[in-house]
Amino acid sequence: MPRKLSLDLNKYKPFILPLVILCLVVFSGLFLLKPKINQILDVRRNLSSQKTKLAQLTTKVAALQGLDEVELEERTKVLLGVLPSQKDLPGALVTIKSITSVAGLELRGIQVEPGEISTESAQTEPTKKYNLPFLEFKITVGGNRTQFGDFLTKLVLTAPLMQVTTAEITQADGGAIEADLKLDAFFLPLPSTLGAVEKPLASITPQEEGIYQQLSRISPVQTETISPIQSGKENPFTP
Amino acid sequence: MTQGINLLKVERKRDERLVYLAHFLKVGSIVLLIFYSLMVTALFSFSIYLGQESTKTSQQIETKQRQLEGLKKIESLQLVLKQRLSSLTELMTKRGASYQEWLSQLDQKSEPGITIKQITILDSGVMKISGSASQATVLARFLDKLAEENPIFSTVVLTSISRQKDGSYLFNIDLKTSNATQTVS
Repeated sequence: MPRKLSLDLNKYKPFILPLVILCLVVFSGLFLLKPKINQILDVRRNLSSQKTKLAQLTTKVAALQGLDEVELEERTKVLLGVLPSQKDLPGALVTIKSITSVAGLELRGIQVEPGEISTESAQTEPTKKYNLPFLEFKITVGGNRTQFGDFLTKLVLTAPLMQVTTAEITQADGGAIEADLKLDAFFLPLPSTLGAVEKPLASITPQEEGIYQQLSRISPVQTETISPIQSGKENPFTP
Repeated sequence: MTQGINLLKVERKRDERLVYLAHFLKVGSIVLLIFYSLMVTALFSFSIYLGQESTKTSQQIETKQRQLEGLKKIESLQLVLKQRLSSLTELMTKRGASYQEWLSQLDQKSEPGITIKQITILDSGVMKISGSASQATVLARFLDKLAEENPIFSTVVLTSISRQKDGSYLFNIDLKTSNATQTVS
């Protein structure tokens, strides 16, 4: 008689609990723990960048709080006088005219290089010559050597910032001179944006501080105010 | 006479091994469960801590950003200041002695008998002088004086000389300066 093969399931009962636990660990690990670990890693990365940003902002706030607003306004005013934010053609002409007049020179001719004053944005990009945009003037002045020397001294001490690039001085027998000068008057448009909030605050270097001290000695030309002259009639229809 | 073999002994031994294995697995799985539970608890706690920390940091960032909004005017002023100073630094550092100083230096070096007719100053830092000298010795003295050590002229080149009928000399001199442009004195 063949022996009946029967599986005694009772024998395997003690294995059910470990199997259930193992399945629980594996499945919850896959579907619960793994996403959670990924989420934690993301949050940690995010937190790290947030902390960096916070540190940058804290430094920036501290740096800004340490600045004196009144002094900054004063300094900015000085620098905007020295380096205007736009092509100030009338201002530059008035300055040149005033300096020649104060020095006692005769302004015989003045010419602005064509094309450069045509539009506001005609030359806002730095040139090869300088790292600043500029307006080029050609002037002819007449007088004596002392007056001419005085003119050159005043020119470098007057705002807006101008620079003589070439000079051709012709001296007559009587000591009178005539000089043809090429002058560059600089300007620089204001920055259009403040940049990113967390961008560190640009500090003024000791070299720039020295430059500021030099530039603070440059003052705008003292122009006489022209009082309005009463002429004609207020109402042309009145007799 | 027959000898019987008791096969039940092996069966009992196998059962014992099975019971031992079951016990081992049971204990192991419980330990695993405890360890796993602890790990899950730790991870969730850490996740909650990170969430709180992130919220706290975000709030601090918002506070700082609000503070920065209030300081915007100062920041703008500082930015304008920096922009202008950094742009002017190059220009100002390139500037050397003023043209007035060049001319004064030339006057100091001048000699009686020397008449300067024309001075051309180029932005390359070269000063070209044209003039006349009453005598060759006067011109030689003038050149010597120009070539003496001085803070402005580095090289003196007599480019041309011609003798006139009256014995005077017409000359052209190129003076190379150590810098091309002028400075704020």
